[in-house]
Amino acid sequence: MRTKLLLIIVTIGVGLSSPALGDNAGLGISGAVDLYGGFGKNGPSQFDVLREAELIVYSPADYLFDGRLGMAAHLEGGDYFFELHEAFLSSTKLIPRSRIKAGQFFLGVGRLNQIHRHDWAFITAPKSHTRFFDQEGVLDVGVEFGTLFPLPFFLDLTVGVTSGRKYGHVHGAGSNPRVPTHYLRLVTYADLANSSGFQVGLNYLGRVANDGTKKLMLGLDLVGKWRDNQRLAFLLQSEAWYRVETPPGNAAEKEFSIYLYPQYGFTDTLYLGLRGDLLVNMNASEVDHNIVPTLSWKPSEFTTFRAAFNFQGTRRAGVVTAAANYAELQAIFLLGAHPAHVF
Amino acid sequence: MKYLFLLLATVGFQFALANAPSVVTTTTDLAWVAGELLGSPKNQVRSLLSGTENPHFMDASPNFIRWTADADVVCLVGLDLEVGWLPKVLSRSGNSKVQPGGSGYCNVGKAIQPLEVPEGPIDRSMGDVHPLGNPHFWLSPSALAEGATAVAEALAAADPKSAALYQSRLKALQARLKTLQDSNKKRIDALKQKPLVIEYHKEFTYFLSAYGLKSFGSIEEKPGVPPSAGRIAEIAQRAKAAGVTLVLAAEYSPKKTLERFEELSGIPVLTVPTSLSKDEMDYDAYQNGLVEKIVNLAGKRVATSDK
Repeated sequence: MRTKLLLIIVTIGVGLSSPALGDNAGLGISGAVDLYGGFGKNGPSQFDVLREAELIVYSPADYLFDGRLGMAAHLEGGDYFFELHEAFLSSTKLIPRSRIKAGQFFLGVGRLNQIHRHDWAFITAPKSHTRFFDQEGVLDVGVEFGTLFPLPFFLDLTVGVTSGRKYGHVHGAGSNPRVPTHYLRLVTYADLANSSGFQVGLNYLGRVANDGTKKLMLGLDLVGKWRDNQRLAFLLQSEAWYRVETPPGNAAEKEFSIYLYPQYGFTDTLYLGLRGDLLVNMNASEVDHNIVPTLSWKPSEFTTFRAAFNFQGTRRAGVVTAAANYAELQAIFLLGAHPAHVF
Repeated sequence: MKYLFLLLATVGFQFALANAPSVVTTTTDLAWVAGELLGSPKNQVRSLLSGTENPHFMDASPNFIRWTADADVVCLVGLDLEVGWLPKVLSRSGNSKVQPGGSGYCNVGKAIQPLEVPEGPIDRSMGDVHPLGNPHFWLSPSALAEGATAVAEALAAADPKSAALYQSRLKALQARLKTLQDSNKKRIDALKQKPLVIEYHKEFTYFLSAYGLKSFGSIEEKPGVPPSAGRIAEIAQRAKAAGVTLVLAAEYSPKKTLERFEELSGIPVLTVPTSLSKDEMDYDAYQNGLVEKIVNLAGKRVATSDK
């Protein structure tokens, strides 16, 4: 599997970087490698993990549309699995102030689900994300439309419908849902002084699976950035999600989760953050928590090194039922096209 | 009769305002150029940056996207200066006119003769090298005059009826920038000893070239990479030995590095904004002020060395 995967990635990379298909076609190529290691009590115990290797190519397809293809290799159960992450056609030229895309993509809801994992501000997913969106994110085949309202302030709406045959990280074809995955995100933004600002998003996601299980999710995401020239002096990022899953004939299972991540920038390259996660199973009165101090060193835009420590615990009816304390290390490097500075 | 004339003039001005293209620029300096070419309706021009930021390191702020969505013309410095954030702003705006290749996409850097275009293969081990050349051209009046051609062309494409007007204003602006450069060059040429300048980052290369000032390179060993302690010590020693007159640095350059360099070399550091401030959009005043500071500092240094 590993040999096959490497062969595919190398072939595509070499092929696409050939002069015949090079920049004359507006082709951009970027690669990302995410190395991970962890050890400690009840946590991961490996130091030499290539968690993900990703290759993305993108280019205008013609005068109206752009195309994007993203492939990634993941370590799962000791072996690498090669997956198609993104394969979509998009346009910002068809309808004024609007964006449309069709194909396979990460759903445009929440904050983390829209950002590739190697671009996150921390090493591993918060509990809210792991529980509701899986380790990395939810991707599916469908269409998504976004529009920016012509108002004197920023208000952007994204709506999407995807096949809903699968949800989360699932291998296989899945099965046709009774109601496909559909979602909506409304975002607004306020400017603060000196290139700083604050963005808030409201989210809704629904789906009825093939077996009749209804999923309803409501979320709030926010990100605030305070810049002191090129130093990101302070970052505040959070997502809160409420999920109701109702299997046919059974009571609704209600869960609430939130993470909060404040991060301080000592210099242009050195950052310290502290993430707090909370996951509440409202039916079972069970609470999972995680406190994760994270130190990041970014010598440039293209490499990142992180160290973090997880203080995890689970409480049921006020009694601690599980605990894990472990350290994590991460190294990321990006190759090729310049990464986009998304707010 | 007088009131009728005033009314007609007001209506005429409002009509002209309504027809003038709405322009968004990445930097304040380009906004100044667009404002000069548009004439009175300067409220039709908006700069995304305020003039204090390092234009390399910005995010695709949602408000940038909103402002760009309404623009008829978007002018950028180009030469990869805004490569990290502007493509995202343009694509998210959903404004087909201002996408690359669109009639309102105005890449000013393409109209100038770039300096320091790297020869041979380049890669990221060399730091933040711009493959198309040094993008910091707007501090040279003559380079900005070249770039203004692209702005005038984009305005004419967006508002063909006023094309002749934009051309005549372009000629006037170019003449004014030439006069500005010539008068300031005379002040520098009149110095008893021409200053030898070192930059922190190569943001003043075009400015130095415009005024015939000699450059001793940069404190940064690789562009965009903070210099090590060893590099600071080494370049401080070499600059001192070569008789460098002053250091020119942007206001956002690392203060501690500049202090250390000044401490080791004894060479004074002049930190200045590298763009016009949104509150004071006066390019002539900026140029005159910067030249004045250099002339004064150079004069003092010569006086000190004569003693």
